Amino acid sequence: MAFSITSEVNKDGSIATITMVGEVDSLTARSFKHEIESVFQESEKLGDLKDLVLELDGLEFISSAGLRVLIFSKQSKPDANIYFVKAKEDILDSLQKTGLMHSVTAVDEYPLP
Amino acid sequence: MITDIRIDLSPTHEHQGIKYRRGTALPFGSSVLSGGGINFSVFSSTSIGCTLVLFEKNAPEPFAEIPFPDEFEIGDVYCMIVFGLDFDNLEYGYKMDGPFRPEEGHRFDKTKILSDPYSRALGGRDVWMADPNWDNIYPHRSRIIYQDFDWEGDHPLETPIEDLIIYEAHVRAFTKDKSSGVKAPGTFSAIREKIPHLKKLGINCIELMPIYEFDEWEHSKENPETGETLVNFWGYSTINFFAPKAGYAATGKFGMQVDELKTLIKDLHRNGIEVLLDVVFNHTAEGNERGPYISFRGLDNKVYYMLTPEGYYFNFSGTGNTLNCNHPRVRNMVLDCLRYWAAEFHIDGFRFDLAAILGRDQSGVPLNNPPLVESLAYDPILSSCKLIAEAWDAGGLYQVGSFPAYGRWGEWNGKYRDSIRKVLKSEKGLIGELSQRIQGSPDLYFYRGPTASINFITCHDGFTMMDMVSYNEKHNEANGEDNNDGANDNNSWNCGVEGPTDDPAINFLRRQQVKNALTILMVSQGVPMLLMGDEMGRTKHGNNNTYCHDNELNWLNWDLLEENADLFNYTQRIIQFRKAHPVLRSKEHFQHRDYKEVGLSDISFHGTSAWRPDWTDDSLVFAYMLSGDHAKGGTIKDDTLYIAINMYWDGLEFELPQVPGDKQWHIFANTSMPAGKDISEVGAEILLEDQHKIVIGGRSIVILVNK
Repeated sequence: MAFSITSEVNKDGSIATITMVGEVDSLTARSFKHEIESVFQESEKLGDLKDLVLELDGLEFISSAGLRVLIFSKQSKPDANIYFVKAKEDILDSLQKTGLMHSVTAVDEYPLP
Repeated sequence: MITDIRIDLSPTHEHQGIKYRRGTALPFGSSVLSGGGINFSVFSSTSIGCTLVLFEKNAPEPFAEIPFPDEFEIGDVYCMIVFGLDFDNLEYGYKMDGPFRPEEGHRFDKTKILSDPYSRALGGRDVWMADPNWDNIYPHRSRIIYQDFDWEGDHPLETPIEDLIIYEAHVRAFTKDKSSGVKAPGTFSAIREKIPHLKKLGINCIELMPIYEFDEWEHSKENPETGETLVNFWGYSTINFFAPKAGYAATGKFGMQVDELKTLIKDLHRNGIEVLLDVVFNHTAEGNERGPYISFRGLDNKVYYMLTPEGYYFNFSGTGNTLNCNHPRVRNMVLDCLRYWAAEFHIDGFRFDLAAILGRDQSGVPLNNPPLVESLAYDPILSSCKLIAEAWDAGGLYQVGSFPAYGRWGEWNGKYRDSIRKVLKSEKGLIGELSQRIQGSPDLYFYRGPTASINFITCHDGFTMMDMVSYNEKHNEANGEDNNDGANDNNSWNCGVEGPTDDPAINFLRRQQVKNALTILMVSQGVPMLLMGDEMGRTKHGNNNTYCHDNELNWLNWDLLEENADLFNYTQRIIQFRKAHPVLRSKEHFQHRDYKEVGLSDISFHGTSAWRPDWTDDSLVFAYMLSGDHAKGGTIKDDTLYIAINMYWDGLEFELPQVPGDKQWHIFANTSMPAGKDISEVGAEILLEDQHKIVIGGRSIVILVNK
């Protein structure tokens, strides 16, 4: 399945939103990492990042390389919250089994109700 | 700035568009370098050339083969840094050139692609029993792991060994059955879901049967009765010593087995449960001269294996080959491997399969001072790890009681198992031996203390506890070896009928015998080990060697928990009792004297008459009293306990020893009583009406607490 990734950072740099569709495998994980680095840089220019929001409704699969990008994100911004919005059960399962669940918060919508 | 340029991390060579340079000899294996590039390092003593072979994940053909230039060889080590590789999508191996002269021990074949003995993950068996591509030119592929797991402050628990209660389990068998009700049956992840069970049971250490990468398809064959595929289920046949088995991880198909296993260990530690690994360093999956080239044989056959003067494989392991553990290079690999598991996986200890082999020299002769065993005992990284030997091998070396210990090593006490089983079936002439076993076997471990003795009555080899009281003979027909495999000396007794029966008296006696076994195990000095499922009456239907069954013969049936709720309740409470009474968990042997001057010696022996044990050959009764004032060498106070074992077939009256002070005898357990009355809760023991004597039923055990 074709992979696409888009992102935006809000005005004060406190919220960065990344939307991914398709599959994050070892190749597309690089795009994911670049996108993360780029939103981090942008938010730093504008202020402090508080929430990294990953819109994952259309994400079918995330590989070990993709999960590793998450570790990188958490290590880079330990004070920021990482939200998984509408992630599929299989993806949350992988996070659970590999001990990464504590790094993210799974939610059905963002902003939080 | 010029100082930003690492000249030692710049390519100097190029091959097929791939840039590389000379690497670093250490560490062995593959390492992702912070400045970019991957360092590959492998040793081989008698080869004349080496080629690094690179694949994209699961690709049928390599995308590059890079011969190591002569200047990349340091001593016998080939090392190279390769740049621009995507380690997440990479598989690698080596082709090794050298002589093929078996009579001299050399079996090089430069057409074979060999996995790296130090690789931290292997591809090829990512999903358990998924059909492999049998034409794969490189079936077991080295992969690269990036070590960045967040342990969140976890560290090995370092539970004092005398306080340990071990639970021997098989990763897949533990949860594979649908009755387990877990999300991903048969995996590391599923064990996490069963931590509440382990906590409720009360054990504080889980010993996992082999989790190093092995090939479940090895020697697979058809079950002659059912047509089902028989496999290498237990996994005592290692392909790689550093890689966890991917097929045991729900995320193995994503290459995340390392993270999943570490997450399990972290969670077990959070719940106060240590993790021991059953490690198999006595042989590899490469078999004898007819076996496959996977790694070691093609890299350095003469170094990795013990060979006869004619170049054949010694077979002290019973599986075709024997790892040459006391060759200095293999010794270093074993040490590197265990250090890796202790440091990177926070493993709390190791149980060494057929460990007597670790004490043989390169020609197979037993050593008085085996350097590997000594190195492990004194290694700084392993200094807090438990080291436990299965102190025998298939070559006839039996070292229970004499395995070189260096003040560190414990042993699976096979004599404990045999003695207690014989006692349980009312064999005569064993009271003296029984007295030794319940004391932590000072006859075997006088200078090593009781904690050298890992006490067990059942383990993966042999009958389960319920089968031990239900079968006189093994029933291994389903293994397809005409019932010739598996041990014949089971020391078991079926209580009157072979196998399942509707006879209520026999079924009652069998449960009583199981409770007797659990009781002796938990009130013996030393370290008790319980076999997975014995807490719920697990059966393997009389099969005492289920190494090849990926089915209900091995899979734990969790419905038994309800069916045999009385056994679970008994096991749980007898474990609580052990934990509540430090007098049962001495670090030192008893002195058989009253060194606290309280009017009782630390241990005393009794028979049907108090203070008068019956040591005669006809005796089937034995009682002992542990003085609470002498608990843990007299450093803490506990209750005084009296334990009476009556293996005579009828009830007998036992005179109770009188204890100084005004405390009274209370009954904690009586295995002859029906469920509900057989065992109390710790602290809720019932006052005995008659403080001078008690009738103890036939083939039963009573525990009294003086309080």
